[in-house]
Amino acid sequence: MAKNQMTEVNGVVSEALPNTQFRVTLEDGREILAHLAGKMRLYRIRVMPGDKVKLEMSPYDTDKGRITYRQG
Amino acid sequence: MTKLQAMTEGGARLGWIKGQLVKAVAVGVTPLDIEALADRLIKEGGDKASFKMEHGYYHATCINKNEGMVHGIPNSVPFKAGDVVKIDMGLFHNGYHLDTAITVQIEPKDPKITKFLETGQNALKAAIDQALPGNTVYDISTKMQQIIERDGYGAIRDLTGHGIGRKLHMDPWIPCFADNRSKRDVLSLDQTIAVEAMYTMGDWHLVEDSDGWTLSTQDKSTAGYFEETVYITKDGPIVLTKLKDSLD
Repeated sequence: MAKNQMTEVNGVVSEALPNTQFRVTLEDGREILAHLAGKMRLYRIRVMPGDKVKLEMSPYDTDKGRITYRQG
Repeated sequence: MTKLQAMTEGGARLGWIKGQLVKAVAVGVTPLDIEALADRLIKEGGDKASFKMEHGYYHATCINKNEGMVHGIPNSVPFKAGDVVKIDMGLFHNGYHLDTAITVQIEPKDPKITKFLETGQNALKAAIDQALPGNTVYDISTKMQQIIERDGYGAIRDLTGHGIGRKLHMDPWIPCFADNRSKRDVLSLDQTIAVEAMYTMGDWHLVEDSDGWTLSTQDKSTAGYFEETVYITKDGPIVLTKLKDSLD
C-alpha cells in the first residue's frame, strides 16, 4: 500500500494526554487529536502545552494528526 | 526465526498469491472476486492481511483500473476488455509485513500500454538495484524518476514507497522522484523497504474520490503501479515478493 504524503499544518499544543497524545489547536482554529511521530519519540523531543508544532495530516482523517516537529 | 527468514517465507507466499491473482484477472471478473481470492489464500497460509490492519481499511487488497492509481476499494464492477488493472496487497507473516503490487493488462493488449507497463517494471528494477548499504533513498528515487521520464511518462509525487517490517509503513519514505530530503536517508544492511513505481501516461497530479480512499489521475491518463518488498544485503538487494508460479 503506497504511503500517502500527508499535508503539513501548524498548530499549538493545548493539552497533553496519556500515551504521548496531545490536543492541538490548528491555525484554522480546529482542535484535533495528535500523536507523536516515531522520530520525535526516538529523539526524546519533549512536547508541552503552549508549544508551536508542525503536524502531518492525512486528507482521509481530518480529526487526527501526527506531530512531526516542535518549533523553537 | 530471523527477520530475513520470516520475510523470505512471507515474501515467497505473497509472491505466489500475487501470481494466482494475476491469473484470475479476466473480463467479467470483479475486484471483489479478486479480493475474495486474496483473502482466502492469505488465510489458508495462516497469515493476516496487512491492509486490514490499517486504520479505516477493511479489505486485503486495493484494486484500481485505468486512471485509478492506488487505494481502490474492491467493488462489484466487472473488468472489461482492455482494462489496465492494478492489484496491491500486503501479508503479515510471523510478525513481519510484506507489500507488493502489480499492473495487468486485459486482452486485447494495446502495444502503447504494453510499452508503458514495461517502463514501470524497468524503473522499479533499476531503482531496486540502487538499494545498497551506504546508498541513500535519493539514489533509488532518482533512478526511478529518470527511467519513467526518459520514456515520456509522469512520476507520481504525492505517494511514496516506504520502510517495512514490523509495521506496514515505516520510515523512510521512498518517493518516485528525486526529493532532496531523501539524501538524508542512508540505507543500511538488513534494512527492509517497499519500493513502489507509481507513474502515469500523462501528468502526475491525482484527485481523491468521494470514497475518501481512491486516488486517480487528474487528467484521466492511465496509471501504472509496480511494487516489491526488498531486503538489503551486502551482496545486493533481495526481492522478497517476486511473482511465483508455484509453491515450493
